[in-house]
Amino acid sequence: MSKWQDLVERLLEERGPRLVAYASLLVGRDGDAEDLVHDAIVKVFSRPRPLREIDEAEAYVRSAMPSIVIDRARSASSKRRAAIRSFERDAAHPDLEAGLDVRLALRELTSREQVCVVLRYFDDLTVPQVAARLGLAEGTVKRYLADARARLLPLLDVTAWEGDHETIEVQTVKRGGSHA
Amino acid sequence: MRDLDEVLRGSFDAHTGEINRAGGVGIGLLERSVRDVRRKRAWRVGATGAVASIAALAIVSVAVAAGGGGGAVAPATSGAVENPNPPVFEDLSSLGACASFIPANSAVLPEGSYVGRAYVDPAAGFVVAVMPDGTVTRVQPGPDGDYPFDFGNGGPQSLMLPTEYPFVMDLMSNSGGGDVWVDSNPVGWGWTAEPLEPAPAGVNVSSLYATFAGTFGFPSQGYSPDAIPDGAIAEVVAHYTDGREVSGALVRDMPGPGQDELDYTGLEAVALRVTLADGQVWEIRADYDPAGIPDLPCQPTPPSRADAPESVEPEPAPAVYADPLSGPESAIFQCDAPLPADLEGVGDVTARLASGDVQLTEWDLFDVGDEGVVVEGSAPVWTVPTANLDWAYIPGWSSSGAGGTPDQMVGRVTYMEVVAVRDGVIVAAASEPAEDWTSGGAGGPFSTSLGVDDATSTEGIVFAFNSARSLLEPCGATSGDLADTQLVVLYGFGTDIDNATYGWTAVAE
Repeated sequence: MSKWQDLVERLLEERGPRLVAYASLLVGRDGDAEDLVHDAIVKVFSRPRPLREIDEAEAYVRSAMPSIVIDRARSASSKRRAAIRSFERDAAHPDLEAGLDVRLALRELTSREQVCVVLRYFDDLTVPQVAARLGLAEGTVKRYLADARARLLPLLDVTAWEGDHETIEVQTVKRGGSHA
Repeated sequence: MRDLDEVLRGSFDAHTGEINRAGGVGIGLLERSVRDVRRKRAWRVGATGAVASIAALAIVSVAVAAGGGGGAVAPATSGAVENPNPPVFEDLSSLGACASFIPANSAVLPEGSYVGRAYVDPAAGFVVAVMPDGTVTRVQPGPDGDYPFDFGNGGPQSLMLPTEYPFVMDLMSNSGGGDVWVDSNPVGWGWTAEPLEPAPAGVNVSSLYATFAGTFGFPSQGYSPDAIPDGAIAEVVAHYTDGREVSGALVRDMPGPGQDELDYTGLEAVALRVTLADGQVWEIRADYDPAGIPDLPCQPTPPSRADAPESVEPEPAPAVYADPLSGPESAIFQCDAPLPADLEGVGDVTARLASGDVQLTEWDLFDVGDEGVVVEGSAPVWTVPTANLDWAYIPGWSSSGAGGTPDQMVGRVTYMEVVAVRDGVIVAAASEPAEDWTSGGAGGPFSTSLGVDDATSTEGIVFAFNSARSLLEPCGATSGDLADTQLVVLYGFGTDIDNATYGWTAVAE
């Protein structure tokens, strides 16, 4: 068995539940989360990388997930492929109950908002780090977080961190077909 | 009140624990992951040659099926590709002469959900679509190698999956997906479902139907007692022509009786019966006719793997442009025609030659092979109708969008291709489909967003073309060797394909 395959097997055996749980925070149903884990593993392991330790592999796979979610949201063709891939899933199973209220609340957000919330509040990244990670402007990340908080706080009966209540500068940009 | 970070971590910990208690992740996830990693690694080898892409798809599938993955890939040849896997489409001849490819019996599937069926042999590039009324169409490959077909259910959809084995796929509208049968070919014919009486309160019809499906030969779900009201009983009852009734209560998490469990001698009907606490009875009943041959249109020459006709029935063809530079961009760029000089450098797009692994973004390391082309810069975005972004099947074109409302998204349509130019004239362009542009087989050149600048309505972009020159085909017989040509990137951005602003830039070496 090749080294990468051995590492993938160990990764899913030992860290699979953590990867699926993390992916579940980023996407919709638990079945979608397994698809995201699959895509991240394929992305990380399809190219030769000097991965030997399982901690390192888990970190790589986890870090690949947010950008995959963003790419899916942006690309119509990616969404089609994701839909097609659903044919290959194992038999559908219901979402697990544990922590489901939080995941259901997260699903009320847009994909970008959801990813920003997870990176900011679960992974403890700063706003500039989230912006850099996702290739977004800092102001855009702040806006996503503000909108997300506004929807999540009443749903989950939570409070945000101190300092999160920043003033968001809102710009009105006139858009139209005259751009070239 | 709790902190949001604590809530997220609590959810994560609880979810992780429950997955662990349930036995961890399924073996299916591991198998799919290993298979697809192996396939992508194999594809990296296959995609570096100048091969016809559909043949390449088949060749790579063969290599993986044979346990390859890192070995050399044989050059593609035109014509049929030998399929090492014998077709496993079940012999349906007992159902009639027209029954080589038939739809599932929609009457015994959840009402109104059945869209159609496909018989697919990926290694042979053989795809047949079967409408619910039995109309059979041999599906030709689209430019992305994905065999698009429109079942009249929201536009064309791909019927190809990256498998190494033949399969039968039933598409359902209510789930947004469908089911794939690998070792079987369930059709459910011979059964005639009785119209359903309105279900009593507390009876979950779809759940019960999913349990009952096994009786018609389809995989079924385990029975959930939550599907019936408190105090009710659910059972399956087989009726025989001699008046016998054989019944058995449904058991939690177990499917209903399968075909192999029923005594078909003299079988007349099977019902899933719910008896409510007050004695009221409600049934899903299906009558059985062993000679139940579907009333399907008979094709003069039913297609087979060996000699399928090009297309038995004309299908509503998606916009397919088989030749390079024959899509909407042909209004500006054509093979054997000069590049419009006034479009050089329009916008903020640069291109450079690259090879091997290129770090395109902080997170994306991409193998661009030999003579890869990396395109960077910025492109405009607009608020556009979401519907405009959901078209496809035009080589070189893509669409992207995010945010906004369900009807409006911020995004654009993008045209991006690499061509070879000699003395200002386009002498070679990409063969299609564009799948070969990537080493990962992702369906077009690698592309990613570097973020939208709301103030300027522009977006940072990165495109990467794998081994660009090797995938170009001369426009004419006189184009000759392309070694002395200049690689040029053509591009266009717009709100839709009919309103794009075009430009081009030479690839810096």
